[in-house]
Amino acid sequence: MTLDELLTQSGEWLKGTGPEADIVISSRVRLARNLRDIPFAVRATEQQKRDLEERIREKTASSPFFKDALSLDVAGIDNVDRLLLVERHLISREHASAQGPRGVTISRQETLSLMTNEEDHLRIQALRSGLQLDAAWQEANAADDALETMLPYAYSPQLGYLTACPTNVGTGMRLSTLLHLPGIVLAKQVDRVFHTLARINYSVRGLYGEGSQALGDFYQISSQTSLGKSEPDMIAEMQSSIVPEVAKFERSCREKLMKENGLRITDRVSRSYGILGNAQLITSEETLELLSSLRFGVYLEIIKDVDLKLLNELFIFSQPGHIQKLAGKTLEPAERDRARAELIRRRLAS
Amino acid sequence: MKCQICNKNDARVHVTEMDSQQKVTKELHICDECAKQKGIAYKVELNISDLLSGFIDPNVGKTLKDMTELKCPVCGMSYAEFRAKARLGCANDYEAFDKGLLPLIEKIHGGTQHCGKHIRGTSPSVAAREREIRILERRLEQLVKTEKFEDAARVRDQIKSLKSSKEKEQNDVR
Repeated sequence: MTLDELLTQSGEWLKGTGPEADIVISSRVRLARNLRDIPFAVRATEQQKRDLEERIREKTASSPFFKDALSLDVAGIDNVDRLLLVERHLISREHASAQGPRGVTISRQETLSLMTNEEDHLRIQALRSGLQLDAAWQEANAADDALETMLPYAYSPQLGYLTACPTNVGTGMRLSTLLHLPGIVLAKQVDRVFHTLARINYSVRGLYGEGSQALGDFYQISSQTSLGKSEPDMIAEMQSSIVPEVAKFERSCREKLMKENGLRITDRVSRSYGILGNAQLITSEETLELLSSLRFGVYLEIIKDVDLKLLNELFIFSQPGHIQKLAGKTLEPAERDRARAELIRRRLAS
Repeated sequence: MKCQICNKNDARVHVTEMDSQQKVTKELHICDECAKQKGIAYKVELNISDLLSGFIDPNVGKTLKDMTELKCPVCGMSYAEFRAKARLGCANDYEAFDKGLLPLIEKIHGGTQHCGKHIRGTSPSVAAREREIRILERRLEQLVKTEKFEDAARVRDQIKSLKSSKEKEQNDVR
């Protein structure tokens, strides 16, 4: 598999299937792991980082678990390629903008990625469409088992997996779900929901992780603590109660809004569809806002000829890295706006 | 939407004021910076640097000076450097800085015992035993403080036997 092939496929997690897929776009399980025989990132030398890259590449190449995977030298690829990987949720923004030797190994279906020399030596990440934290955990856990047989993990019986930051110590696990919450936003209930979640140790952030803005009513809800509970317990809590509760509240907000302001919402959805289908120039921010509105319309069955898979794909393929990669060259913002508008018109018309 | 106070940054904090009848009396849309200045706390995520800067461990208070001079013999990182960077230098730091780290970990996670997946060569029973040892050690401290020496001696023997079986098991693994 090559990096360019990512453009010809759309990633398992964009299928728009799985439980609660109308509200929960994707589920992600991340495991942080370190080796006990070399210093962590802040103390490691360039040479030690390079050696780690080499070591991981050798191990994954010989492991049946990573057969057919794509291994990339993140430091060696250009900015557009790095952006593409961020937009695809295969590497973190921090990993893209960091300095020094670092890499990523991506499975054929894009369900699994392994970042090396991120904040921790290894960051194993599994992605799924809809609310499927359990399935994502199973894959991440299996990859972790395979890696553990080949590498000496830093682990203590008391504190579990030892990580560069004490916020990740223990299971090294963080659970995240990406949700579309236009109802809660329109009903001005965002603060209430987020404060409640913060109180029980869940964080809410924008689309691309730490510090990013919530665009188009897309929010990431993530677990905050990693020590003191087993992985299956943490997954059960988030998958069976926390996220379904938020989804339930979102649905009730949507219903209430439709009852009270149906015409206004239908108007907004229809206008969004009109602009997306006809615009000649469109920024990525405007695209996200309008796609959010369109997605709401699909849920409300105001829009009947667009499905979730197409929406999810547009959501990713209309972003700057994908637009430039599709064009095969670096584009100025104005050129991107034109290429983006054209892509959206074409995809919506087909 | 621009911040209604500074008119420069994007408004990201939305405040709704209500009266006693739950009627909205005021709506304010402001940026993070102005929210901070106005003292409107809006915690969206746990920030380790903030935690560290506001965190003074009661156990370490007296010996904070000694702690900041503490260095990990393996990677050379000092405790002061960890407090500044909020990232550890190697696996051994957890042991080297345990006096400062354990209370911090307790504050972050609400506990200091891993209950999840374990690597080969360790077993959940090892983890459980470690926990047991720590609980007993705390009890021993209390008993000595309150001068209940007979009970203390019994607890001390319990700890001893738990520790020796732990060592035996570790040797078996090796």
